[in-house]
Amino acid sequence: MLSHIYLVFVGYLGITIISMSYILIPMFWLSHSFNNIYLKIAFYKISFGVVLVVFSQIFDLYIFEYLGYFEVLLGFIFFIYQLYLIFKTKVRKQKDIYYKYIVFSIINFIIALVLVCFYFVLSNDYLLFISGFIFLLGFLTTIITAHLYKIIPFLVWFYRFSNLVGKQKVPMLADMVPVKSSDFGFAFYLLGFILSLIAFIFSSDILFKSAVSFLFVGTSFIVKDVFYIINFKG
Amino acid sequence: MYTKEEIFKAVSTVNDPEVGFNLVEMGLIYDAVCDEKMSVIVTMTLSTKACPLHQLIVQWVEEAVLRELPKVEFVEINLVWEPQWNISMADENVKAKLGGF
Repeated sequence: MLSHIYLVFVGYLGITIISMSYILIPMFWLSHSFNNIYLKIAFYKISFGVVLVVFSQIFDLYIFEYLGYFEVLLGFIFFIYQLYLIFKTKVRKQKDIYYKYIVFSIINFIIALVLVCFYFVLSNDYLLFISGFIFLLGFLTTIITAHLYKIIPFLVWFYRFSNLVGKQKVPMLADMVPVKSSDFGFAFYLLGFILSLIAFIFSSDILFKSAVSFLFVGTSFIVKDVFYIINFKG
Repeated sequence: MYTKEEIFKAVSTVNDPEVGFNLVEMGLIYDAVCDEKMSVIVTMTLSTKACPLHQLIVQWVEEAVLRELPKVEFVEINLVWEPQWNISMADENVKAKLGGF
């Protein structure tokens, strides 16, 4: 069972996110001339780590399980360093909605990894639970949302305006994203996320409910923006 | 025969929809020549190999040359990846607006 979970979540999902981030983030930030050796190391370390974990489960050699976790952790650290190099060499300095969600997601990824390290030292299940929450709502959801704000306008633009290039004035992709609304969505999501972490720390049910309300409002803005972009006619 | 400057001016009518600048001011057009048979060769690159508009941008450049320079009979796009594009190849106004410099 652990092998299956690890193969799917780390071997498949993890490496898919890493490879897509490596292509898409430099593309949208116009990052250039960075060394990609750290991405290659990350890929081999994570792959080797997954193999070690699977191997440990088949042959009941638990030392390999922990070695596998360590390899995967090292792989993610190399990946984060690769993202730092991409960030450092980016040409676009505008702090648009894509930038905000990407930075927020990477910070949460680092926090989630740190909490997992503490979990291994302290063996406190609650740390693993919070790490999982941060990984899902702080990292995974926001990195997907960031790319929705780039990919949906591109698809709509491609469908609706690409044939009009050279024949009439066409909007830019950035024109299709509602700035204020997307900023509101981000602010509410951020607030809801931070409130939910505070609610976990104090085990407060009422705080968690208010956090969910903020998350709901933030997500509603995102959904509204998606419809705005889909219906954008110039 | 058209001059390099005239061809560049024609290509400058094509904008990159993602960044909002035309291909010439982005520094993506490396060279352009026109021979006696009115055949034009445009040597250009893209800001990234992963550009999803790859084929469309090449098509827009071809169309722009044919549209803006009516005597042109044939256009060939020579898409190259060396030298690799970087922001130092862009015009000063692009660098300033992107905020990278």
